[in-house]
Order: sequence, then C-alpha cells, then structure tokens
Amino acid sequence: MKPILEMRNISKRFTGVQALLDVDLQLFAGEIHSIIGQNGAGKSTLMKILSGTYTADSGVIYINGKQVQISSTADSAKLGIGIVYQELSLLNNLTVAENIFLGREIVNGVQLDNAKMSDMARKSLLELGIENIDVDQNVEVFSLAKRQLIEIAKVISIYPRILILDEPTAALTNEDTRRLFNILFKLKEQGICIVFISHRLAEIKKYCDSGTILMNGRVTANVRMNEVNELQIIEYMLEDNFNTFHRKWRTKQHKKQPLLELSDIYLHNQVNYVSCEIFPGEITGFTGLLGAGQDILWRIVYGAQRKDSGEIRINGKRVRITCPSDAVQFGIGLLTENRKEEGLFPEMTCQDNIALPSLKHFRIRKYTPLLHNRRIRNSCNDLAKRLSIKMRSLSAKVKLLSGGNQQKIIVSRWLMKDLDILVFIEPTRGVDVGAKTEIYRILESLASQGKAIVVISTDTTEILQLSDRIYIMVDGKISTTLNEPTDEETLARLIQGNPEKKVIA
Amino acid sequence: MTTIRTSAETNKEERFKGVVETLGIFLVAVVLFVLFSLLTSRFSSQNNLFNIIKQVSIVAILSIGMSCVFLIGGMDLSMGSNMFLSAVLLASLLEMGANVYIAMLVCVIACVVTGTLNGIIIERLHINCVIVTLGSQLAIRGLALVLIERFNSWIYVKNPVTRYINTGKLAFGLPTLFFVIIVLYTVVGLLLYRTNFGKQIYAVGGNPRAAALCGFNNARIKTLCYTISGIAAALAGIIAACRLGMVNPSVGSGYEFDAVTAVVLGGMSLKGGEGSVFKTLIGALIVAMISNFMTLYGVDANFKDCATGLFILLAVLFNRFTQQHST
Repeated sequence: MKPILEMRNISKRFTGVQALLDVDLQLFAGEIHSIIGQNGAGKSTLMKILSGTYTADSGVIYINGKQVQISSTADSAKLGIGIVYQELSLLNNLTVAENIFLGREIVNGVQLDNAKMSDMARKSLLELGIENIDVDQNVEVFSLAKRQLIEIAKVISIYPRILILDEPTAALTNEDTRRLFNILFKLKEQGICIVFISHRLAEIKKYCDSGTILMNGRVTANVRMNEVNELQIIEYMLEDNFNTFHRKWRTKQHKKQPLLELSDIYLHNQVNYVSCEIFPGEITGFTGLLGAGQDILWRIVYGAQRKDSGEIRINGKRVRITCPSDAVQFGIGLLTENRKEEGLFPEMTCQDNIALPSLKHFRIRKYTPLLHNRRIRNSCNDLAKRLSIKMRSLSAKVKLLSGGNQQKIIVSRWLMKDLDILVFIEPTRGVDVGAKTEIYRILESLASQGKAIVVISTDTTEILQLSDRIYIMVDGKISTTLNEPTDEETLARLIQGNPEKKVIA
Repeated sequence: MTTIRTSAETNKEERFKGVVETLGIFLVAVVLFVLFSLLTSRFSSQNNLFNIIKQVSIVAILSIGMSCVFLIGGMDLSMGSNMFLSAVLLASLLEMGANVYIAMLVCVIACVVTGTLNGIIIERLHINCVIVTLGSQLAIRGLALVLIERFNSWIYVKNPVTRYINTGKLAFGLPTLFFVIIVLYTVVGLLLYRTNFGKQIYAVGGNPRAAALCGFNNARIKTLCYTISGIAAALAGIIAACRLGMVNPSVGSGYEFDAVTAVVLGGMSLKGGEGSVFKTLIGALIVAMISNFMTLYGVDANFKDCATGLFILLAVLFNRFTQQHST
C-alpha cells in the first residue's frame, strides 16, 4: 500500500534547540496513527509543520506521491489536512451551526441561509453518530466533551483526507473517550487517515493501529500497535541516560519536622482529597499526566485557585491562604509554566522584574517611600551573578532574554524575597538543554540551603533526576508516594495509573 | 558580572534608535513650534509663550491623572466633571467666606472621594471603566450643577490667592503656574519611577496576571490610580477657577478628551503598562500650542476644532512613523 502522506528528513531548529532532526513519517489511509513522545519530544512541532504553522528548515512532504509545499494553514487545508487543536478553536458565543460553517457560510442572495446551515450541520453531526446536540444552541452551553465532538464535526465537514487530533482526550472521561473513538473508527472506515496524539499509552495501545515514537526530536521507532506492549513503547520514549544531570547532594535524614503540610485538599472534579508533607532541604517532585491535578493542587496552595475544602499547615500552624499575597507572606513562591503570561513583565527592565516584590526593603529611609536605586541594582547584580543570568544590562527589557534566562530572572525574584518554599511548575519548559542543567543545579543548591523545593513536571526524566521524594497523581489523587529512587519505566507506568499490573520484568 | 553579548556597534545603533524613539514626540513639538513661529511672528513672543504655559497648565495637570489611569489599562471620562465639581466648590466656598486654603483642601477631598468611588466600582464590582466613568461623569456634573444653581449659575472668584495663581510670577519672571506644573510633574515622576507603588502601577498594567501571582493587590493599586486621577482633576479645577476668575456651568466640559489626546500623543497605549508621564506633558504642550496658534492666526472659530483635530491626527501619525522606524 502506498502512503497517503509521507514526510521525509524533516528538520526544524529553534534558537538553541533542535526541535526535529531527520524525522520520517508515513501515514496510510484508513489507519489511526499515533505520534508518541514525552513533552518536548517534537510531536507538536511536527504537527505544526503539517498544518503550515511552521515551515520545516529542510525535508520534503509528499501527498499521494506528489511533492507538496505547505507554507501556510490555508495550504494545508487545501491539501485536505484537518486539525483539531488541543485548545479548541470554537467561538463560544456563536451557535454550533455557525461555528461549523464559520468562514464558508451558505448564503441565499445576500442573506445567510440559517435554516440550510442548521440542516447541514445537523446532518454532519448525525453522520458522525453524534446525537443530543442542538445545532442552534450557543457552543458555550455544551460540555467540553461535546465541544470536542463539535470541533471534530467542523473539521470533518470540509472533508479532510487526513485528520489530526492533538491530545483530544486530555480532558475527557473514559466513557467520552470511548465514544470519541467510535466516531473515529467510523471515519477510518471511510478511508480517512487519522493522526492521534496523546500521553495516555493505554488509549493509544487500545485504539490505534500504528505509531511513530519520537524522542528529543528524533524518531526512535515505528511500531504496529498489535506487535508491542506499553512497556516497549515507554522504552522507546525515554532518553538514554548519557550526559544527564545527577544530583551531587541529597538529604539523608527524614526525621525532620515538615515545613508544609497539606491535608484533604479538595476541589470538585480536579483535586481529590490530597494530603502530603513537604520538608525543608528537599526537592519534592509531583508528577502525573496532563490534567491529573498536580498543577491545580499547587495553584490552590498558592492561593491562585480557590479550593472547596482542605487545610494547609506551615510549621504545624494552620494558615489561611486566599490569595497569592497571603502565600508570599507565609514564605511560598510559585513559578508557573506560563512564563510570559504569569511571570514576566515583558516591557519592564530585568532589574524591575527581579526586584518588584521586594522593593519595600529598599527604601531610602524607613518611612520614606523613595527607593534606593543603587542598592537595588547591587543586589540584583549579585543575584544575576549567582545564577549566571546572561543579559546585556539590568536595564534591558526582559522580553529580549532567552527562555532560560527569563526563567532565572523569575527564580532570582523569589530568591531576593528570601522565601522558604519555592514551587516550580514545569521549570524547564521552553528552556534549552544547557540552561536546563543550570536550572537543575540552582534548584539543588537552593535545597541544600534548607529551602523546600517543589517541582511539578510531566517530564519523568526531570522528576527522577531531581526529586528526593516523588508524589504521583492520577485523576486528582495521589496514587503513589515514592520515597526511594526508582527507574523510569516504573514511574512512567505509575503515571499511566495502573500500578497493579506487573508489566516490569 | 553580566555578559555583554552584542558588539559595540549594534549597541550604538540600538542606542541611536532608542534616542529617536524617546525623542519622537519631542521632535513633533519642536517641528510644530518652528512651523508656528514662522507662520506668525507673535507666536514665539515672550508674552505668548507665557500664555501657552498658562493655557497648558490645566490639561497638563489633568493628564497626570489620565496617565496613571492609562498605565493600569483604564480610562477616566469623569475627569472634566470632577474638575467642574472642584471649581464650583472652590468658588462657592469662597463666596460663603471660607478660608481659601481650606476651600482648596475641601475641593481635593471631594474629588478624592469621587475618584476613589470610581475606582472601587470599577475594580471591586468589575464593571467596565468607560461605562462607570461615563455614568459618574453625568452624576458628578449634575451634583455640581445643583450646587452652582444656588448662586444663579455664575460665581465670580475674587481672592488675592487665586489672582496670584493666575497672574503671579514666582521667580525669574516666570509665571507661578509654570512652577506648579514642574513641581507636580516632579512629584508624579518620583512616584512612578522611584517608589514601590509606581513600579507596581507599571507591573499591574503590563501583566495583571503576573502581578497578582507576585502577591500584589491589583484592585487596590488600580483603585488608587483613580484616586490620583481625582486629585489631578481637583487641582485642575482649582486652577481653572483661578484662571477664569469665575465659574459657570461650562467649566471643565470636554476636558477629559483633551487629557486623553495629550496622553495618546505622548505614546501611552490603551493596554496599559507602557509609556512615560513626561511624554504626556509634551503631548499636552502640543495640544496647547495648536490651539494657541489657531487663535493667533485668526482661524474661524468653527473651523478651529476641525483644524485642531487634523493637527492632532498628523502629530500622531508622525509619532507612529518615528516609532516604527526605530523599532
């Protein structure tokens, strides 16, 4: 059989990061093909090249044996590639029918032919076997699962030959996932090629026909799903442990008083009665699949997200944290994975970005509101030196810095504030390999100074290399606590949420 | 030490670009000044320049408040009404025989209250700032109108202090109002660039989510900006009353748009978090120069508004042009 789409030797480089290197991909009609890999393995980049969001630095793409150029999203749509993105692209304030026909409305003279559009929308939903969706309702009234289906119906209605689904099941329940696949099977029978991206190996194994496994921008294996088991897939996904980071220093004693205790933290549908203890001088890792609740849990602790119930204790004393300023007062700092949206002040200088929360300690005199600029500068310079931040000067705008250096700027912000508990959500996302190790070293040295470090990451390698203790979350609950080091296969398996299966040899 | 990554040459080039960018609006002012001086010789006479300073003072002071509100991504359309309230209060209190300094203090306090109320409604009840201040614009003006009605809608302001503010010269033969502007802009400059609160204003305006996660009380900071806007309007109202020597129902109407014009000319973005209050001052100067020139040149009153609008559009275009070529 000839492939419907073939990508050959695709390479793509971003500043400092080789996102893809000589990637080959073959897709066949009537197949569900999965792209598998950890965060940052290059899955999204590869799909964005197919969709025309990015263009590859080198490599060729063939569709039905003919070489094609995809340089814009319009190109890819013309070639019959339809994509359902992770963040749904539906407009909530329009009806289902309006969404499905967005940009190619049916007109009757100059007037929109709403009746016909509703009719056709209804038909295309029915064709997919989707019932109980009133196409004249606004999209916002439907659940996430239904919106996902509407989005698929929208993409399907332009009759794509290749349908790409980027993590469609991350927010779906098992039941919804099963229904989604029933629809995908139908499409498959019609000869459409489906590309499925997910972190949930169980799903991939169960529903997909074949898969391409990526690791650090390279293809490590092409597999037929009926020929491999989950463990083998995991092995292909994980890096070889050459040149990786090793902790030089770890705490030995465990008899200390916990600095921070969480008990029965609960948020409806997101976090399910979580209790844990965080010790000073340790790096505590939290991991799980995307959406397993580990990041929401820590946003709750930081006061950035409300909780339904639960108790937070610091040094044994119960504290009330309702907003981030409370948390900062109690010595907790949070660094989120969205540096741009939630961390940096891009138009402000590096100095301001570092010193902002600590400025009140730099008054000229105690009751004078004016600040002592030189003292701020000196103390920022000290921190910049300590974390070896590369920047032109402290008065350069922070938006000009690279991802790794921006991350260090935010780290130094909380260091200046001298907080006891530092929570890092995905500390190395969007950071190149060199800076990654540097950030690991910084985390390690902070822990050695007696600070409690919490790292939340979906990157299992990172979690294993860093953590003294690992909490694994599945469906909003802590499923396993690992006090001893373990290997990546075990961890990857635990994250998938099937601890009782004895897959390990 | 920080590592220097760029070569000296690109550094120089970038610095030049930065200079052009900062000078952009300043260049506009200089070009207009030269142009107007060439067109009418009277424009650059000492007397007229003093006149411009006096004329600019009201908009310049209003613009301080509008800048602070713009920096947090807000808008205050009630400034003209607040200014009117302050002028009416000053005039009526003087009319009733109150001490002039106490009267001024009452004006400021009243506008602090209205400004803060604006802020509280916008930030605590989460209602759009344009809607809220449009409403309070009417409410405040109505309140002040009720007050001025009792004095037959026309109050003369006759007091040695108010006269001194209008015509007095403090030093070097320069009008007192010149020094008032300098002092106020120094104070707000120190506030914005050398205090914790000022930095927080920029932070909250630039990235509210990050600011909240830094532990800042966004609502408080933003509300205080509306308070500052109230204070600025109160001062502008006092000066308007002094300048005119009387208060009637038309005082302050439409002034908020002059302030918006000055702020936008100064290059502040409606998104917030960007811009400099000193450029706003130059923006206000441009507005005043254009209007002064129109009067001197004898432009027909009906055509004046139209021409002023065109000049402002041209100035904004020129400003945008220099900024685009520098970034």
